[in-house]
Amino acid sequence: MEATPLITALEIGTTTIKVLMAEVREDGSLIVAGLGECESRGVRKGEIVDFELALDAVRRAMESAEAVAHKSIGESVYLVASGGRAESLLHIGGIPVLNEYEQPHGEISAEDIDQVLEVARKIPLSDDRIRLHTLQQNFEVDGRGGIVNPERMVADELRVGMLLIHGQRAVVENLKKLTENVPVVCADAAFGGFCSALAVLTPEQKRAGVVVIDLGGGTTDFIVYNSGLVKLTGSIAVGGDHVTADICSGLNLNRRQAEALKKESGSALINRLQGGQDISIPAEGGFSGRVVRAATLHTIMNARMEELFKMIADKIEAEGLAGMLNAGVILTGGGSAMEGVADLAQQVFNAPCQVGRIHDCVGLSTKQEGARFAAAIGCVRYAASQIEPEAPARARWKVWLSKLWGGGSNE
Amino acid sequence: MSEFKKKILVLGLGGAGCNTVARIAPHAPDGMEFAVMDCDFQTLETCPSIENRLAVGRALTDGMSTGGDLEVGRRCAENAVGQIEPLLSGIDLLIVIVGLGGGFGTGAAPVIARMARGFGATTLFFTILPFSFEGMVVQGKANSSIRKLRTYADAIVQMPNALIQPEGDVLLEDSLDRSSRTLAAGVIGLWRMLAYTGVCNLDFTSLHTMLSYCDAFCRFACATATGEGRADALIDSLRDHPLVKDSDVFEKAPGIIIGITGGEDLKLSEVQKITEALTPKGEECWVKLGIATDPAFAGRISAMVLAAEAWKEPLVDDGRGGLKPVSGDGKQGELSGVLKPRSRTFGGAERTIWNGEDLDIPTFSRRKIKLPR
Repeated sequence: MEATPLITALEIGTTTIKVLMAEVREDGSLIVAGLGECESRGVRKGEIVDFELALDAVRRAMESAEAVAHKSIGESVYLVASGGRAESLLHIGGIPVLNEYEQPHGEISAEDIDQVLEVARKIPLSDDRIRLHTLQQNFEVDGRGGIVNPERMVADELRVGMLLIHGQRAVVENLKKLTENVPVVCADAAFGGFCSALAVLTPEQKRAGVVVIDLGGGTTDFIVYNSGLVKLTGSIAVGGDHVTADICSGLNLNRRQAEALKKESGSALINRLQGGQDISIPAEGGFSGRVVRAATLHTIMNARMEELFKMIADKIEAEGLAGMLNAGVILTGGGSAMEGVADLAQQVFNAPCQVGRIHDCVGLSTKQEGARFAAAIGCVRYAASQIEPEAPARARWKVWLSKLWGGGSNE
Repeated sequence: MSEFKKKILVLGLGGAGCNTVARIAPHAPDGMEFAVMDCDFQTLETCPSIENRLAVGRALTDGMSTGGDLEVGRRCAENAVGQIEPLLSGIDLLIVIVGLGGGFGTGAAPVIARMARGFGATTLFFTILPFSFEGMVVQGKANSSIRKLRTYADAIVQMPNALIQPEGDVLLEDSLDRSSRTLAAGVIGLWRMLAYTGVCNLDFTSLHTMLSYCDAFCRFACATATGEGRADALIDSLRDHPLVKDSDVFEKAPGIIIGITGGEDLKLSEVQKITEALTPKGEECWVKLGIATDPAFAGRISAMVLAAEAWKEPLVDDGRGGLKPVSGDGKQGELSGVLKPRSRTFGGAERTIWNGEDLDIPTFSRRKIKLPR
């Protein structure tokens, strides 16, 4: 039997560069074969600021993944385009449905459906934006929405929405160029938020309405699902780095100290119990050691995280999706490890909140690990879904053949 | 020169810049100050008439050229801060002549522009752009340098070499002479306008306003005419000037400076005619007229025009490593594509602006949240 080819996902993040090599089995579950991580350099807010440094880090992450998997990455990788100031745009295309006399009001045929999808897909985009995904929404037949398959229905007009996820062209193209310089082929780029959602959401959650927030180092991506479809996405160039920078400026510490303080004693909530505690920062070369109050640290972090969540909540409300988050808020990314961040999100969104868990995946050590790798795992899933469509096409052809020859093939 | 005079320095950078300055200097009026700077000592030796000769980058190139490497050019200039400082300090207007596409001038020009801005000098760059036959690499270097210059220089006049050539099959020497004469006429004309007290004075502040609003790119033309109907001849030759011929500056420029110099026989009717012909018709146009008389110009009339290609509010350093418009009315978005404000804390990544708020500033300081101590 031929070995299932490995799919490699590459996430060039602001804090870490992650390479994940995994195999997707027929039942949809995922087996992680190799995992490589490297501290990211030359990347800020998800965009490349130093090409050479970033290239070096990507190469090292790939090497470590290959060493774990005992296999070569091969020729192509799938890229997670987190950041890139992604935005979503809903475009609705409609066509009149004609009957056999070319008059309005007719039965919707498969050609009509293809045509309306084609019309809706044609979304004008400005030159500095790049198309990442085009996701189909439900059909609308004569103003009645929520129709999954309108074929053979009778109507005057058929409409369908297309949600276009687009990012900043320069940012995405630079990421692609970086991969090409490794050198590997960049097979496709997928939006980070969308990938995270693919990794952590169940179909039930997608139906009930949920927002996935990927708290990255330099950017925060979010994606809103309702009735099983993506309704809104976005990306804000604010992330864990901003929290660290705030601590730097608020407590007069250097970056490394602030980062350590954030990880060890940080909290997104102002906890009255711990608030009175003092945290001592050890002396080091040229720095004589200090004591800071936990309350100060938590106030700084709380202000930033609350603002970030409020910005997302405002966006969701502006789109009229606020009351539709029955399955609540799911957090992924490195920022989801922050103390109290889920409780804060719960307060801001007024909906249940939890840290995302990867489902149907073997080979990752802990739950926490999972939330960090959500985007990479989702990217593998996305890649698998992109590759798959060939198989059914061949199957259909075989069905047709077998009909012709009276069922000769018994494969 | 009296102490009230503004100090103007003409600086030649790199091979082309030095050559041009060396050609201009002998024809310059008294009191005009020149300096040249290069890392190739051989070039500097070819301009003995210039008093201020700055040989930089001895440690990097050992007195040789950069070999077309603009990084070396940049480092030469950066390492020579100590030498450049005394030259630039106290200068009010720095006119830099530089040929882009080579090594030293191309790399050093943005550095000089930045330093001059640091010293508070207004900078006007006359850049000579390479011929198209010099190849894409040279063109690319020139373009990238222009982009960098644009950030720091107040105004850039672009002079593509191909445009300022005389017509027909000419000798190389004539061609070079023509380039430098076009430049010389401009630089000297501008200097004369500022240095001489005219009938209708073109002062330094007006020029400064023009340069800071012109959004970095200027068009430039100058001409001289004599004899009968000299005003008409002057207008025609200005309109035909190679640097403005293909543009519509005389119809549409949002800002324009017209400097007219004549002898004691300069007539009001001539001034009126020239001004009316050259002033763009738009109501919004910012026009500044300067008229000077000089006995040496008897029978002659000379004019120079400096026109802005666009009119934008000048950017000032916001002290956070970025630039913002003077009024700062939150129109940051409009700058996109021109000069995206860069963040210092986040390694030069683009600033995160959300609903007019700069999210790179800590939330607690924007929201004025009091931190418990």
